[in-house]
Amino acid sequence: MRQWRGIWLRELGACFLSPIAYAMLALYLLLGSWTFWHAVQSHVGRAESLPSLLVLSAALWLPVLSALTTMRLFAEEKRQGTLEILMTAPVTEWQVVLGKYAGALSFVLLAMAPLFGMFFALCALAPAMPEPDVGALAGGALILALLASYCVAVGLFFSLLTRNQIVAAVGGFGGMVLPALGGHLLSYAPVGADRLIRLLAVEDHLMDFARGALDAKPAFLYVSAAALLLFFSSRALMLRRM
Amino acid sequence: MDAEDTPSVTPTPHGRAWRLAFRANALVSMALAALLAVLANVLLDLLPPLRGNVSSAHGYYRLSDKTLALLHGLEQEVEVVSLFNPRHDFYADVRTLLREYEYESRRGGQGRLAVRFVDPHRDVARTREMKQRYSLATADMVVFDAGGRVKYVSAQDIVEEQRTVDVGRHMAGAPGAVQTATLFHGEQAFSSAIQNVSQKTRPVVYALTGHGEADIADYSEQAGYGGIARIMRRDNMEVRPLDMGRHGGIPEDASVLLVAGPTRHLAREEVDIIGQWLNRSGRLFLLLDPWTRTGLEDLMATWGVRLDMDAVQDPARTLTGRELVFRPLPTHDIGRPLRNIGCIFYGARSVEPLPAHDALQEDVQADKARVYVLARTSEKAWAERDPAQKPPRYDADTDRPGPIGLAAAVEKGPVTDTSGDLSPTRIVVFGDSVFVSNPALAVGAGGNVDLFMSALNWLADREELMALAPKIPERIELGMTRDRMRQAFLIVVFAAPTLVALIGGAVWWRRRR
Repeated sequence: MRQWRGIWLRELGACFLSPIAYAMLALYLLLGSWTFWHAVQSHVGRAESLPSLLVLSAALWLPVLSALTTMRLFAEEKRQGTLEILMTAPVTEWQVVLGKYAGALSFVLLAMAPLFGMFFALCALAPAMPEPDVGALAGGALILALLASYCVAVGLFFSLLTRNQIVAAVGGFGGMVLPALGGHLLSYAPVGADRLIRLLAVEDHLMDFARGALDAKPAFLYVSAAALLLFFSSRALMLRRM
Repeated sequence: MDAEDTPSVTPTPHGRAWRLAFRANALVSMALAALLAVLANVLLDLLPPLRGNVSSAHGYYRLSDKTLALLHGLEQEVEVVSLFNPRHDFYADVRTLLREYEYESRRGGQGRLAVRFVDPHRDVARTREMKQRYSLATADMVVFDAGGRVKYVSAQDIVEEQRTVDVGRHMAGAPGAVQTATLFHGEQAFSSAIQNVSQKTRPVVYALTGHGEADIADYSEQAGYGGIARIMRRDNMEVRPLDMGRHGGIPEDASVLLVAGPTRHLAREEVDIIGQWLNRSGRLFLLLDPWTRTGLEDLMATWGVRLDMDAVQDPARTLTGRELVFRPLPTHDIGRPLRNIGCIFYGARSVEPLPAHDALQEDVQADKARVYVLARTSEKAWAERDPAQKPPRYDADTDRPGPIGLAAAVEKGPVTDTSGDLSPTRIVVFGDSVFVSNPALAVGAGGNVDLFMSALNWLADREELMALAPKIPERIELGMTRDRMRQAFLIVVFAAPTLVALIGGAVWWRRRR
C-alpha cells in the first residue's frame, strides 16, 4: 500500500513540476471552456440542459488530455532506462501500474475541475440563467470521472507497449475514441445490434448522466474496461520482467 | 511490445521452457479476464436495469404514479420506436423519458415495453422500413405498437410554446411584456399512447351509407373516405359501414356514428332513430356540404346548432377564392392541441350555435346542450344564400355577415338519472366533408387530418386518456448586456487557462534557477 501510494504521489508531483503539464492543462481548459461558451451561445433561447453542455464540452477534449498525460508514463521511463531501476525496487507490477494510473487519473480529474468553476461563474454572471441543477451536475461529474478512468487506463496500456511517446499518444487516442466510433459505425450496419450500439453510445451516456439519470450499465462498462486494461498492463509489465 | 526492448533485469530461474510457460500463462489469464469482463457486461445488460435519478429539477424525468401503475400492469408487449432527429431540441428529453419508461416496465417484473431509437437522418434504411411499416410521412415521431395496434406521438404533441402577454406592460412598451414558456407534455403523450394501444376494446365507428355519403372503402383519387378510414384504423379504431335499413337501426356497439357528406335527404324514420340514439348518450360526427338539405337540420336545431342553406365566402382567408383557410379555435378540447396549425375547407356551409345554446354565453341553462364554435371565418366573410349568384358577392339584405362559424361541437350532460351517471351526448358538425376526402389528403391539406382525428377522439372519449401535468424544461437564457457578455466571455473562457499558464510559468522560472 505504501509503495503504491508513493508511486502515485511521485507521478502526481512530477505532473505539477513539469511546465509542459501546465501548458497541456492550460490548453485543455482553453479548449474546454471555449467549446462550452460556444455551445451555450448556440443554445440561447432553446430548451437544453446546461450541465449536459458542460459535460459534452469537457468530454470532447478528454481523449486529447488523457493521451498527452499518459503517453510518458512508461514510454519515457523506457526511453530513459529508468523502468528497470523501478522494477528492481521491492514493488509488484500491480503496485507500479496502479500507482502510475492513480497519478495520471488524479491529474486528469484535477484538470477538469476548473471547468465546473466556469459553469458556476457563468450562472452567477448571467441573470436570466435558471438556478443550476446541482444533482444533474454531480451526475455529469460522475460520468466524466468514469470516462476519464477508462481513457487513462487505455493511455497507460499503450504507453507500456512502446518507448516512443508519440506512438503511445496516437495509439492511446485511437483506443479511447474507437469504441465510440465503432458504436456509431455499427449503427449503420444492417444488423440488429441495438444492445451493443446502446452500450457503446458514449454521447448518450454523457447526456443521461448530465441530466441526473444514472445508469449502472454504462458505469460498470467503464469501470470493467478500465480494470481489464490495468490487468493487461500489469501482465504486460510482468512479461517484461522475464 | 517493442522488439528492441531492453533485456529483463529479472533473472529467469528455470530457463526457456519455464519462460514460455510463464508467457502462455500470462496470455491465457489476459484472454480469460477479457472474456470475464465481456460476460459480466452481457449479463448485466440482460438483467433488469438499475437506474437512479439525482436531478434536483423537481423530478423532471420522474414518472407519475399513474404512469407507473400503467407500466407495471401492462399485459402485452408494447414496441416503441423513436424516430426523433438527434438535433431536435427535445431529443434528449424524449430519449431519457423513454428510457425511464423502459426501465420501469422491466422493474415491474413484466418487461413488456421495448424501446428502439432510430436516427432518421443517419439510419436511412431502417427509417424507410419504419415509414413503410407504419405509413409515416414525417420524422420526429414516436410510434407505439402493441400487436398491430399503433399510436403515433409527434413532436407537436409533446412540446407546447405558451406565450403570456402582460397587457399593461405591453401597452406601455415595457420590456418583458411577452413571456414565452415551453411546456413538455412527453409523459402525458407517451402514457396516453401506451394506454391507447394496450386497450383491448377498440372504439367502433359506423359510417352511414345510402344517402350519397363518402365511401370508406373508396380509395380513388377523385373522391371517397378510404384514406381517412385507413388513418382511423391506424389510430386503433374499427370503421364499419352502416346501412340502417339492413341493421334495423344503430348497432349497440357503435361508439360514433359518422355521417360524411350525404347528398340525399335522410328518411324521417332514420332521423328519428338518430335523434333517439343521441338522447341515449350517442355520439354523432356530421360532415355536411353547402347547398345540401339532408333532413338533419331540424334535429340539429334541437341540439342548438343552426344549419342554413348557404355557402361561406371569406375573401380575407383564401388562396384561390374557393377554399377557406382557418385555424381551429383553442377554446375547446378539439382545437386546443392544434395550436398554430392551419386547416383548409374546400367550400363550407355555416355552422352556428343558436343563442340559447352558445357556450360563450353565461346564461345557458344546465339542461340544454352547450354548443362550442370550433372554427370561425374572418370579419370580412359572409354566408352567401343565393346559389345562382356568380361570382358570389355580399348582399346586405339576404346574406349574413361574418364572422361565420364553420364547425361546432355540442355537449349535453353528463346526466344523472335513477340508473346512475350517464356519459354526455356529444355531436361534432363540420360545414365541409371534402376536407378529409382522398383528393384533399393527397394534396396534404394542412392540419385537416389532425382536426378530424381530434374531433373523432373527443367523440370517442379518447381526447385525454392520461391527464398528467406538463414539465417545464430548463431553458438556456443569459439576459446579459453586451458589456456583461464580453466580461463573461473573458472570465469563462480565459480566466482558468491564464491562471494555470501563470502558475506553469512560475514553476518553470523557479526550476530554471
